[in-house]
Order: sequence, then C-alpha cells, then structure tokens
Amino acid sequence: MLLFLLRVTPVAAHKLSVFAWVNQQTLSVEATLSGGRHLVNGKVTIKDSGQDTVLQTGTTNRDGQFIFPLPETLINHPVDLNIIVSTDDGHRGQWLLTQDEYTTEQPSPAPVVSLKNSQTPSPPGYVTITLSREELSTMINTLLEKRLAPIQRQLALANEKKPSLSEIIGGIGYLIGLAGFATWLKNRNTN
Amino acid sequence: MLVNQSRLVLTKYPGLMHISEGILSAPILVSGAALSLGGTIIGLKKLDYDRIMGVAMLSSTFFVASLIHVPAGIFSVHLLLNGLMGLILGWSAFPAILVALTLQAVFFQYGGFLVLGVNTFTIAAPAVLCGLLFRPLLMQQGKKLIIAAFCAGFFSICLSAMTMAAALYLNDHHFLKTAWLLILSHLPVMIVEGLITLFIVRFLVRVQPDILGLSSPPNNLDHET
Repeated sequence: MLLFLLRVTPVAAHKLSVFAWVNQQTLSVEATLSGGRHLVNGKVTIKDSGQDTVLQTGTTNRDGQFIFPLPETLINHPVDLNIIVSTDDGHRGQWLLTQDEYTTEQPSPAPVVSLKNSQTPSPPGYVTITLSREELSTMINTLLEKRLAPIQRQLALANEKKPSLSEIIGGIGYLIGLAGFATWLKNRNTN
Repeated sequence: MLVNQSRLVLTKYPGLMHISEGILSAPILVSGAALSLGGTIIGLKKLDYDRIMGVAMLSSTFFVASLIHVPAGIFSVHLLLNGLMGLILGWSAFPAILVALTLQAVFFQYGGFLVLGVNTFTIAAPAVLCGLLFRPLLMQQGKKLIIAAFCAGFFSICLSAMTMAAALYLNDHHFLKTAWLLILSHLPVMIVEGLITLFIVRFLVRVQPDILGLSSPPNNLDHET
C-alpha cells in the first residue's frame, strides 16, 4: 500500500484557481491548484448568482475541466453564473461568469442581402454565397468565441498572482521587524 | 485497482494546509479562532524574549517552506516544519505560526482571514503537542533522540491532518466516510516531514544544541563521524 502511494504525486495545495468560458453555447470550467496542477474530481457547482439557486453540479475530469452545454432556458433567459469548485479537504475557488460574456445580441430580422450581384457570373473557382445579416452575425460571433477563449484563459492565468521573491523577502522582513518591535516593547517596559 | 484507488485518493485530496474561505460554518470558525487565541496568549506568556529572533527565524522558515515544492524522487512535497517548531518553540509555536499564516493570507491569499483561526489551530496545536511529548526524549541518548525527532515531524503532520478532518467533519457529517482517506493521503508527507525533522534535529544537536534546550550534545553523538 505504501509503495502504491509513493508512486503517485502528493503535492500539498494552497490555492484553487477557477476559470470559466463559453464557446458555442458550451460552458467550460477549468480548475487548477497552485503549482499549475489540474484539479481532478473536484466538485463543480453552478449557481444563479442572483437567486443563489443551484443550476448544475458535476466533477472535473482528468484535465481539471468540467464541460456543460448551456440549456435553452439559460440561453433565452441568461443570468449571471457563480461557478464554484471545491474539494473535500477544504479548498474552494469560484468564478463569476456574467451574462454578457455568454449571450450574443441577436440583430433584428432584416431582408436577405446578397453579397454579390446575382446577375454577375462568379469567376472560375469561386462560389457565390448569400447570407442574411443574422447568419453572418452568428458566424462571426462563433468564430470570435472560438478564437478569444484561449486568449481569455491565458489572461486569467497571467492575472493569477504567484508568490514573487519580493513578497517572500517582504514577509520575512515583516517577521523579523515584528520580533524587533516586540523586543523594543519588552525592553521599554522593563526600563 | 489499488493503484487507481490510491490515485483517486491523492487527486481527490490535493493536500494539507489552508482551508479556504467559505467552507466552514460560523460556529467552527469562531471555535477555531477562540482556541487559537487561547494558544497564542499562552504562547506569548511563555515566550522567551531573549530568543525572540530565533522565533522569528523559525516563523520565517515556516513561511517560506510551504512555498517550496521539493521534488523527492518520484514525488514532490512541500514542508510544514511544524513538528520542528513545536520541538524548539513549544507553546510559542502558536504566535509564530499565526503571524506566518497571516502574512501568507495577506501576500499570497492562501487561506483567508475568517478561517485563520482554524488554520492556525490545525497546524500549531499538533506542533505544541508533539513538542510536549517528544522534547523530553531529546535529552536521552542514542536512538531515543532519533525516534523522538522523526516522530515529532511524522505525528505533527498526522495530527494536523486529523484536526483538519475533524473540522471538516464537524462542518459536514457526511465527510466521516472519507475522512480516513484524507489522513491516509498525507502518509508520504508525514514520512518526508519526519525524515527532514530528524536531519535538522541531528544537525542542531551537533552544531548548536542550546537551540533545542540541550546544554551539550548527547555523548554518543560526540563520537560519531
């Protein structure tokens, strides 16, 4: 039993970071521990931020992710989502996903607009495509979501503060300074 | 199946140390704060101000040790060194650990201020207990010193895991079924912590025994090469 336990990697964790994004009406949640490890089998709870009602629960997979297709009710009536990830040993992290981040404004219906004059023949190798404003908007939004999701994720990771050398030295300085202050107080009271 | 179960244990329970904000209920938070306050008051009363810089250095060691992930062969751990603090500081480990955890919460957002009392008690109380139990054995010769040093490191982590499990159980009684898994998942950390504490104590006994409250090294260690 000991040998099997030693084969795995027990690393004590300090902080649980959660990041969530929506791509093509699918909500993805990613949970990582300090040190960059993926959180496996973490408990995911998705709540309506305003009413604090639980909308969905689940667990993270081997990649530390939980993927949840947004239901029609949520797409039609979006709310701010509070995504909470927790572990059984007391670690907890959360992410607020506002409705603006996963709803797309639908343009008002408009007549079909041809992108090319239908009377003009297409050159060889080209195909004439006719799209409505609505279809064009949906296509652009889908592509943007797909392209922006990794960038948003990298931004969130970059914003995660890791302990810097200056903070560590500052903390040590505080401790030594407190000791010096305590010594001064003690000597002052003695004198 | 045993390997898979072990992997499940160690992925489900990422590790000891800071319980996050928003996990524990108010009565547990208040109780933990009260117990930590009591321990800190006793620790401050028993604090030897002539050795306060040593206290600050050990507190700094605790502050830094938990930030460093040490690859140890096929696995990697980070140290608490609370057993060592208990051996050297005794009750003064309470204020030392409290201040270090406060600074970790301020600088790195590890844990939190509401849960600071519980986190302090989880780490400091086992340290003090192990110090009270095993410090007298440091005065003994031979293998008793080695056993005492190892046990101080080993059981300080074990008791910290048990204390954390107890806090989580009191918060949610369904946790009892998995509490033993949480403790078991820290077994490698206990062993490494025991060994590190043993090495440090043996070094201190040779070089500066007065840090441990010893007037001189035990006789058998003087003759070791």
